[in-house]
Amino acid sequence: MNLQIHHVAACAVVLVACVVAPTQQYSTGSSSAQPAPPVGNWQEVRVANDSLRVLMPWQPTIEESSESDFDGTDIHSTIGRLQTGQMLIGFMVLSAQGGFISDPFERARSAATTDSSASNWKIRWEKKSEADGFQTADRIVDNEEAGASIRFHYVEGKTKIYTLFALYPTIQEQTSTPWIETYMEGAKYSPNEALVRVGDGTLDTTAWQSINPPGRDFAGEIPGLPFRATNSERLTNIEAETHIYGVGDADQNFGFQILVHEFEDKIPKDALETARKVTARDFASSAEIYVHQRGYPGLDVTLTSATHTLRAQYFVTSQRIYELVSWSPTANVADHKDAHSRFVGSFRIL
Amino acid sequence: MIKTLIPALCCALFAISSAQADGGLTLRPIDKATVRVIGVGGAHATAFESKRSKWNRVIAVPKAGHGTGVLISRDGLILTARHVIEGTDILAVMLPGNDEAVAAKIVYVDTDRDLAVLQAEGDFPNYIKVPTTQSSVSLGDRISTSGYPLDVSQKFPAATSGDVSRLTNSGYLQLSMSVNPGNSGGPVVTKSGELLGILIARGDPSSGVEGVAIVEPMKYVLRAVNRAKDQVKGSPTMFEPTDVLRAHIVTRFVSAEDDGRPVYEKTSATSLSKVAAAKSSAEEALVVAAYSWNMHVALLEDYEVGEIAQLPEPHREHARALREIATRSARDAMAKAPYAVNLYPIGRSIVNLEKRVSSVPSTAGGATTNISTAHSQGAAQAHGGVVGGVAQPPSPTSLSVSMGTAIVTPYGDFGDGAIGTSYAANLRLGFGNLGLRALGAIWSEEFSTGLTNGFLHLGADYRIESRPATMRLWASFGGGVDMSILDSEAPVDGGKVGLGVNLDIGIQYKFSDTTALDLSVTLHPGFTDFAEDENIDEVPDVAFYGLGVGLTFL
Repeated sequence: MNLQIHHVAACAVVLVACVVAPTQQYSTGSSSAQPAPPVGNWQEVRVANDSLRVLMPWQPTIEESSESDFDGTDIHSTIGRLQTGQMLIGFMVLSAQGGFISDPFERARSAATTDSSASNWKIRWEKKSEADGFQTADRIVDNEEAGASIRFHYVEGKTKIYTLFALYPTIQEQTSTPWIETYMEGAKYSPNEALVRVGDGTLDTTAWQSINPPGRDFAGEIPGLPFRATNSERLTNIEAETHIYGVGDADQNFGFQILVHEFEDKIPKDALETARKVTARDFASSAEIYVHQRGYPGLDVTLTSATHTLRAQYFVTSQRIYELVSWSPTANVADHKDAHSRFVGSFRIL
Repeated sequence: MIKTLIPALCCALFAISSAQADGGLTLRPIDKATVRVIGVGGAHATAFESKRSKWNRVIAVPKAGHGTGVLISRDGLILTARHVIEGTDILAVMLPGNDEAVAAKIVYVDTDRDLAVLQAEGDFPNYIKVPTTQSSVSLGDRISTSGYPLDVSQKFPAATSGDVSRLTNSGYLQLSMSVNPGNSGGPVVTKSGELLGILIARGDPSSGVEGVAIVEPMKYVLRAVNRAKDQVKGSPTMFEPTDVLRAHIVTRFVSAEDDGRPVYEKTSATSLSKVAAAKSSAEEALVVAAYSWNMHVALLEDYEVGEIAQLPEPHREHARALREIATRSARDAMAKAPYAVNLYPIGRSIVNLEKRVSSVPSTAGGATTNISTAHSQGAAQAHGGVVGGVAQPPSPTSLSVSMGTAIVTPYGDFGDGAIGTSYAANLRLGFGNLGLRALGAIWSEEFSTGLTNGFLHLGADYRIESRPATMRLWASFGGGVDMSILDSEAPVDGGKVGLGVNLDIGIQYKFSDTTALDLSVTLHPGFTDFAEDENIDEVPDVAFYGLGVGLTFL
């Protein structure tokens, strides 16, 4: 083969790729018209393996999608929407087994409106609370230019985040709010998703439960499904709110309680001592040692009355005092020891 | 690692007794007793852009802090501020003039004052004695402190001096002295070097308060020291060999380049495995997981997606071992204590990324890899795009489009030596290293013999690439079928069909995650004659050497 090779000049080509995302437009314009009433036979809509049940005027359009977050978390979303008059109501369920879901409010906002600019929406009102073992938050955002508002009801579970939303003309807020609240308050969430399972507080040392209530920054184990109570109290003249998670037997001879004393401001210096005195009111003698956990200081106190022995551990953080208390008849202290060790040993300040 | 650390530590302890900071500055006794205190209490995940490959990789960012402490006994008791160690899971201290980590544990934390006492492992001849009573000081007396403000990497403490201002209503000593973050926990001493208290706070410059420092006075310091000594007497602090490596991990975990990326340090995988396997809390296991993950990512920083299978030993084995330690530790810790993920979200990210890697078929791009079964996930990583936590998986396929203007020549019996130009185009669809391609050329009119106007080549090729980088070299070799494109007036039937081969050499500039610019040279020798018509001999055999420019979409 007589092969000869020659020179070639070159020229370039430029290719442009265009990606167009499908969009769907919902009304965000202002209007003096009344919102469409929630007519029709309200029906229960169940989604995400029945983990969300919500009443809606009619069947919404439901979309399912999946994506991977930057850290490898696979996030599945179920979005339901229906439009009634100038309003749009809907829900979004984000699922991430063992994963973290970033910015769920922004995701919900994107589900409620096709307005791609988050900066157009300003938070006007927000409220956070805890209900039925879920951490909840309510928020209203406004787009002043469009004259539109969105109300969100956000519920955080173990592996899912539920958001109910309603997009409406701001001018119609007064007339819309009652039935938006009815819609949002009527939703039911799977108890399995609750961050903390609560019960009647019956002691059951064969059924230890993990306890990691939302917003309290602790985790631990307690024998049985705890009752939950909240008290307001004054410790060293400073108002504190105490959240109690506890179990006990019918006669209250044996019991375990975790008390979280929360202060609005920095804890006063003698608050721990005051809390200890409150616990020790009916006990005659005590012994104490200094303990600590993750660098937070604490006291381990043993108190004895004529009939019972109470052991307590206190830990102090910048705005809380955690108090772990267990008690038993003095005659049963040895039997109670292992359960007490598990109770205090499992406790972690987060 | 442990064996190497302990002698180094001992040398450091004795060397410091006569330490002079570089530059001839002499350390005072208080400076020699002043140590850095470093603690880790969490780690979250973030993505950073790899310098070389431009891919986003997930790294662990420690929730860590540092402060100052002062040795107060030969057996390693260290006074510091409570807030320095609050919320930490593993602590380490570093002695003046030394970068080796020393294991330390909390002995006592005061419930109502900002004081804590640690104990470090070892024998420490350079300590200061705690006076049994509060020194008598007057307003305006000159005092000084020693500490490690701002930069935790500084080996020697910085001295600062000021005056006693007053005793506050809350029982603190107020000083007129400028201190900075990192000074917390540092000793405040009189002119004669007597301990006066522990520095715990400073004025907030953002509130307009400057030059003010707050000190826990000796009254409370003495109480804390006595309680700590009682604690130690009743329950001596125990150190395990793995505590030394944990401390080492802490000090290295908090080290980072200026842009936040982890600093690679060759750490024995065997030692890390021992620490990971040792009895430890979920939080401690997650620190090991996070550190191992970062070292894995840092090790791969010089390599790009698609290269893990080509990593030289022992890097390949070390990378695999680090990733396995990270994954196993994270998974075990989260199974043991699900709550811990609130403090260490990186643990969840490591497990999630590993799941994603595992979901990529290990045969993906297998033709490029000659690796062990145990490391087959490396191939999956490489071609699935998750090397060391690369978060944006590339497609294993690529599309290359290039065009050029070629000058061609006939050869054989016809028109030997004639030269003409050709407009050439190339389309290649790549699947890993294998590709399908179509190469075509159209002659210019003056070169046309009236028989052919060009040719079309359809074939396959195999491409090899240099180490991935923004700029890389590549070459491919392949073969296929060539077909002549006959002029409509050519006096032949059936055209000319034969076998052709291609050799391409190119240079690629990757200017985004998905797009690269290629400059390539193509050598196409020609094709074999399979003529059906006797006049086919009139059809010239053609060879060309092309230089093309194009784009590749990854």
